[in-house]
Amino acid sequence: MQHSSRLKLLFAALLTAVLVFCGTVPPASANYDGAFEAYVARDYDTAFRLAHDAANAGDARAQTMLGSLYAQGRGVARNKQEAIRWYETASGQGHAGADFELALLYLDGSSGEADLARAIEFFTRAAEKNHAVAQFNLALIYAGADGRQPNWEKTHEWLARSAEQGFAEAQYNLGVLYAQGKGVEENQVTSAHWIGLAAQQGLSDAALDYGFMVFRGQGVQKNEQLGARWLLFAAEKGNVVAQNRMARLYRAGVAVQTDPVEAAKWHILAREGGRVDDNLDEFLETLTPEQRQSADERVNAWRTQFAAQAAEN
Amino acid sequence: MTNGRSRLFLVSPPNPDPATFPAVFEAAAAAGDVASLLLRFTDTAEATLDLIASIMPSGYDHNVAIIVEGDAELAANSGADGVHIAASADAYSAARTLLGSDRVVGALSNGSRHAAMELGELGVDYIAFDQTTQLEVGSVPGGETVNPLTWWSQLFEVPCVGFDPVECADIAPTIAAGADFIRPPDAMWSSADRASETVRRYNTQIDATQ
Repeated sequence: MQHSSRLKLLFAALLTAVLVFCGTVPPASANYDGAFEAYVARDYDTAFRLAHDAANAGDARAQTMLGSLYAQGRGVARNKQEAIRWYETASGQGHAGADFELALLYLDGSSGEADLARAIEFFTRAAEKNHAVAQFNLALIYAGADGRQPNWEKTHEWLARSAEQGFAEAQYNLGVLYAQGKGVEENQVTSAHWIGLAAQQGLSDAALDYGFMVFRGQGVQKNEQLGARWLLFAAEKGNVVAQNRMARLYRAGVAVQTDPVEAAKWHILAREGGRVDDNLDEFLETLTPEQRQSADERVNAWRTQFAAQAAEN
Repeated sequence: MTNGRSRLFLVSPPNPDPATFPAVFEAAAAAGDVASLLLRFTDTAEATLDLIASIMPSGYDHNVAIIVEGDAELAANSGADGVHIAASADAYSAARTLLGSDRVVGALSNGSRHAAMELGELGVDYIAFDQTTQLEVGSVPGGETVNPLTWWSQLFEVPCVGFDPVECADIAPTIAAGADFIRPPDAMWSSADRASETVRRYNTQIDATQ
């Protein structure tokens, strides 16, 4: 699985509003609930107005949301200093989401100077309050994502805590640690367990690795048909390695019905994505004009659907 | 409620006892109309495959869909009728790819309207709501709350499950709120007699409501 198993830093882009603002349970606040609804509905003017009221009334979730609105310039003019002020207020009340946001600001230096030590401090605060994404990011920092010497024991500890909470990226990376025996004794069964959980959550990198594991019976019951389904899922999510592998399976009729048009479709898509395969190039030359035309049509249909999905996310 | 008569959506206790549960489930399934059984496992040991295998015949005989919680691969490997997942578009597409279009993929709402609607559009077979506790999905700016079942059933043809257990006396208002599927409380599993009595009583009450 070396082709794709690796630790990857994950930043704010992946966060949903739910992860950022939820956390410790403050006193009920109708304004906060309304602000949250408005935020989810992308009505940022209303979200700002309601969050502002609730934040001033002392609601830590609202303070964090307000910080985020200032940081992104949503519902109000962008103002980093105001963002930091509200995050710090919420952090002072023990809000893990605010700790996390502050850690990100110190990490990328958008608050002024990048300050890794402070980033680690705030990630740790949030992580100790069981903030799953903070735990994950902390694990990656300990894995040497910042260029320092890796501490695999700490990486394992924080990945495990995040994975136990069901965070898919952490489950996948924890599985990779078990596969590689880093910070923990190598164990293919435990590795397959965690990577499988991440795959079930729809993480395409995990689905690719897990598909290979199921296909080969590595740490898990061997089942070529099921392995091929996982690879198909990763291929549908745009993974070029999986697309190449599906092209080969459809061409050879292994674990799936032989289907030259599907084989051609996946090969053309994988090749566009940079995955070359001379054998499959030769195979394309053997197609009838009708088969080639069908494959091109399916490629176009796939692209259209993939772009539509990407736009929605 | 738009799709005809409401039906029962049974939910097993976590990790049902393979020695006793199959007989209790058979009693429930034989006692009256049951749409489905959701099997809950907190760990997926080898024994779960045996348990599913021992339950499938009752499900087949009485036309009850056997649905596995959380693990699409277990559903695929065991031949169960479907999987019940957390509401996530990515998890839905993984489960759908694994199970194909003939089997059931249902989802439990996490309280996000957006996630529920996305799943509805993707083709989820049902969506379940914790109707008594999930206020976020039902609240609107201004503070007025709406039952999530009502919100959903006015927007989508996809059937919805009242996932919080419903006492017999609360069947009518739950159906009125929009539930296509009703879940009795877990106490029904305490014995075969209790299970069959519950299914009979709930069906009588559903018939009286509609």
